[in-house]
Amino acid sequence: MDNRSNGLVRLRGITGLKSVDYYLVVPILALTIIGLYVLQKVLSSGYAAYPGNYYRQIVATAGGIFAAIIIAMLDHQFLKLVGRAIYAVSLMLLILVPIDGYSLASTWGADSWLNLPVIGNFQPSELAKIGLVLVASEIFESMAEKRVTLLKGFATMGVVYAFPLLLILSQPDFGTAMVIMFTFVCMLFAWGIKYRYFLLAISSVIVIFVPAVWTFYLEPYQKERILSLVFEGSSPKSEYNLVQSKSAIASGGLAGNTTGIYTSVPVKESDFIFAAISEHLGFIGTTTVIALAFFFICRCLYVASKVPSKASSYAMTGLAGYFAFHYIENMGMAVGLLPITGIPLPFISLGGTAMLINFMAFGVILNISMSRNG
Amino acid sequence: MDRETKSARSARYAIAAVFAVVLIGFAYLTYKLYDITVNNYEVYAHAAANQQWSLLTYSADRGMIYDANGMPLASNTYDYTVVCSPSLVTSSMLTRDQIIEACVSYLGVTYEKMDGILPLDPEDKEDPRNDVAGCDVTKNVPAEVKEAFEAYCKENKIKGFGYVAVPQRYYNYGSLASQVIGYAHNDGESLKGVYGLEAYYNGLLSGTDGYRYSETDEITGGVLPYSEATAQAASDGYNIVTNIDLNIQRIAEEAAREAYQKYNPIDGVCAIVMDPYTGAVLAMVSLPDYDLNNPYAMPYGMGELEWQMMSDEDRVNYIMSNCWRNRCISDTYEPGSTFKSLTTCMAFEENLTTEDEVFSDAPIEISGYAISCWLQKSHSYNHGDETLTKAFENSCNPIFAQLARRIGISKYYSYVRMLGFYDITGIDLPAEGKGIFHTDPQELDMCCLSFGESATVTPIQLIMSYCAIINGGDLMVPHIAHYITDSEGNVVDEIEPEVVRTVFSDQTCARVRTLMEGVVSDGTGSAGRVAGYSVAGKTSTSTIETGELRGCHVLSFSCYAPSNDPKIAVLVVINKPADHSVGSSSAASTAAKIVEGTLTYMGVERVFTEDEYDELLVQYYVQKVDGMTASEAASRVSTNGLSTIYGTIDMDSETIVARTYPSYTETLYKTGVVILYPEGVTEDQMLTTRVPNMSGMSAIECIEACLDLNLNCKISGEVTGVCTGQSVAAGTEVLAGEIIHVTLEFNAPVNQTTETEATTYQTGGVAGQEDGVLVETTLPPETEDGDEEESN
Repeated sequence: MDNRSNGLVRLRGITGLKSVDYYLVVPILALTIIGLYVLQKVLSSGYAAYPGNYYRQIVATAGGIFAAIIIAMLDHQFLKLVGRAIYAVSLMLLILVPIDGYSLASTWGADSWLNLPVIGNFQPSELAKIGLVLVASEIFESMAEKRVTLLKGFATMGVVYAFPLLLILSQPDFGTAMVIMFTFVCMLFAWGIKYRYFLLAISSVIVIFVPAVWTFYLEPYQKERILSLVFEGSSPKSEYNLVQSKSAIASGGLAGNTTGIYTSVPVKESDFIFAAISEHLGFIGTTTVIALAFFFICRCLYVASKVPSKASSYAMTGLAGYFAFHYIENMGMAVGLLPITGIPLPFISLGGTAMLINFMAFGVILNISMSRNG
Repeated sequence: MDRETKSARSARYAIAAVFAVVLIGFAYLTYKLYDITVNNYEVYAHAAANQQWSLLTYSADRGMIYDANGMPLASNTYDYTVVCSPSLVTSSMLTRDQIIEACVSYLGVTYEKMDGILPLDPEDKEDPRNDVAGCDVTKNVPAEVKEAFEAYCKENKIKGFGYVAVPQRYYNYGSLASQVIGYAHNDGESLKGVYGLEAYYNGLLSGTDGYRYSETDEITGGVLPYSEATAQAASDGYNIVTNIDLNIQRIAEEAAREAYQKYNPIDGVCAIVMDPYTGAVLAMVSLPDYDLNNPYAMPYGMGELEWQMMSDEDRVNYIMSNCWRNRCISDTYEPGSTFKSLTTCMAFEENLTTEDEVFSDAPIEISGYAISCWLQKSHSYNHGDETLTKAFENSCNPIFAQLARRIGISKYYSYVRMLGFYDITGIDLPAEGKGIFHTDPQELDMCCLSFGESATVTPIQLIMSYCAIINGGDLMVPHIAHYITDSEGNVVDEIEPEVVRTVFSDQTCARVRTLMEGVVSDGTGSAGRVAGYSVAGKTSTSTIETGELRGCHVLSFSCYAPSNDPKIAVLVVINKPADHSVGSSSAASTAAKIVEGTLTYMGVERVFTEDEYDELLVQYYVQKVDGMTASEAASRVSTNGLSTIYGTIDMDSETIVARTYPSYTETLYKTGVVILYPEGVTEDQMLTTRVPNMSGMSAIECIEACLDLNLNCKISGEVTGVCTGQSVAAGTEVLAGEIIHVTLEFNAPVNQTTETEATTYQTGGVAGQEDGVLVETTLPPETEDGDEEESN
């Protein structure tokens, strides 16, 4: 196959459908359906913007699926280009965020939103996550194949990561920054970092980074969230969300709360949607979600270990880490295992940007998985 | 190639490591979920249910407290707590300062307090005052103040204030029976009794709050329509119907307050009125008292300046130990000579003496300590040899010490124990105390106790032992409450008279009662006499021997009346008057007022003896008061006990009196009534009234019947007889103040048909006097109206 001769973008033929990895598609579609079902329940129970917000979610989902199909059908060779494009656009948008008039800082705690014409409210940091994964995987591959020296490679990596990270941290969106760091670490692993370096990095992070972040970076409410997790009852104010969330989860019981009366949980439609899943579908529903997510991530990792292209393997690992982090952190905070951050549940939470970006990431994953087969 | 595989393998290991992390994460997540939904379901689901279901509490109404006649003594009301959300307190019309001023003037809060609550700028996130979601502005705001403030807020568009209704107690008669009723205080949740009946019967009075669980709207927290609710109506508290009679309580308080003002005793005045047969407490007074509706207010009788000087803590301590304290049941005092009745009872019960046995009043020495009569102490001589009856009347200590010695220590103290002095009486009030009695009594202890010294009792303990003497030997349990009724008034429980034990026989009691009659008629208790009612009792003066109050006296009088058919037992204790010369007659005269008022109220017939009539029927000239102001005239006229009435409605205390009716040439009894008239009142403008029918009445009844209608009465004939004729026919309209001559005959049958010819006395106008008429008779014209009686 000579891709280059057929123009910049060549979509794979219909035959590509045969090579679609249904082990990836089915769980994601199942999660999406569960998500839409639960969201309908949540939004219809008293949200003022219903059903407008629900329709927007459906449109975003449709748009996301469409984007995923397009990306999946792109020639594998173009992924790098797509990655760079996404990275560049996200960086531009991130620069726009702090500029007044675009942001929605007063509505949410973090100033991470853009109010774009046509598209509406949009979170560029979401986009940055995927861009970074794709760009970083390319750099890792270059280093792995010794096309660049480690020094030059990591220096480039530093520059590539520094701009979006600094912009995101200044928003401040600590959760997204953590996702980015985590995906980076995943790729670092996949790249094959020597464990002693890794341990060194971890310990330096613990010794230098954690205290520094705690002292200089974290806002009091963020500290409270972390402290209330460690010391139960230390801060009733920040524990409120958690107590409500646990109450809602518990009220679901095994198969959902059938009484038709639900607990009030803050941002139940998004950050705390896991609580709503439990309320409406019970322990069965939540374990199903966990199982689907787990299966999906495992499948990603399996594919990552099989794909011939190093960059694809790294990117796949990074994206698997990205989703794993989202799922674990979101569910973990809902049950009180992890500190509360504003990280939504992929394919389920209300949020057009997240839905669109997640499907784009899924498109990349599909694309990579299909490159394995043909 | 080798290297390639190696790196590929290491990459797979790395991916496996990521996989492991993910696996652990998800596994733990699942476990945690299981933990929440299954293991701790109850904990969290309960928290959830609390939000999904709103719990409305219906507060139960606290039961009422009624007097014996069903008049409410304690009832329920509401006041308000004013709350605000500081950052929301704004007005489109007023500045912050003006809002604060409104709070200060309406709610009485300080400017500083409001300044500390309200933020300067509700938008300023740095201002900590904006972080307060809600706070109390002030509590206990009466409904009318709250309404005024609310209206002001509405008028000036002030937002951000809220009002929370708080149930409060209202005491219909203020300070009346304050220590008996006690007060209830709202602790933020409900009313809780703090003192008195409110505390003792708190459980019964409180009732049970009702509740209603209903499903709530997740977003607004409002109750969902059509949702099924689990509800339990509040069961209101039970009512307490007391034995306390409002009127008797008033009479007793009035008499006790007079004594309190007159003698200003350090430890207050106690007065108890009991039904001796049932143990029902008809009235219980402890002075100083306090206003139940404002228990922290300055107590009655204290100087404003002194009160201002006290710190809040001192004030509370003062009120607590002086006003809130029910001295009748919590204070102890040396019973003194009142204990002699009990010693005598024991001696009679044991057949150790008789009324006529002659004893020597000479000092006796016991364990090196001389016991002598009060007369010996003050005048260095004693009553010499006298019968027990005389000794009882004279209250001679040595004789009772001799009696106690005859009884013997063990028997004596077993009687003391049987009389309940080692126990509380079990009255249904909190904080009952008991006297201090000897634990290992010696002869001297017993001899001193025989006349009421060396041990202390509570007033309620003492009067219960007297009730035993009065009712024939049964020691009763005193009860304030009579009935417990539910909120609909059905009787739930009746508190029956309760006999603790029978201590003395009927005969013993009757003999001692006879001795007590002598005390009032011939002995130390003469101040306890009440004309028309025979009072029997025993006085006591005990002296504080040690401490800074050394030399102070505790004066008491324990009595009952009427002596032939006792209706009430009364104890008055005047505890340590500042003036050491005040004698026991102070207590006796106070008790006499209570007896007189109570028996009159109870409708017990007054039986005057001839001597009492002699005193009652002394005639006094009406004083000449022409040209004086009305108030001067009234005080001049009343010097002999006569009462005055203003003859026209436009008279006041400054009006000059021109004439009186009857005029100063007339004589009247001390119960008489004189009408004062200003210049320019002609006879036909003077007050009129109608003559009552007094046929068959006793002298005192005639006098009272006339007095009720503003008439004067003159008795002739047999004073202890009944009325057979009156100078003016019943139903005739006469001038107020007219003297009606009444003829009494001894045991004469009442002749309804012969009535005095009234013509000679029928003076004054008859019609057209609406202007001047103050009192109109309610007596309907008698059927015999037309008949006329022979004048005598």
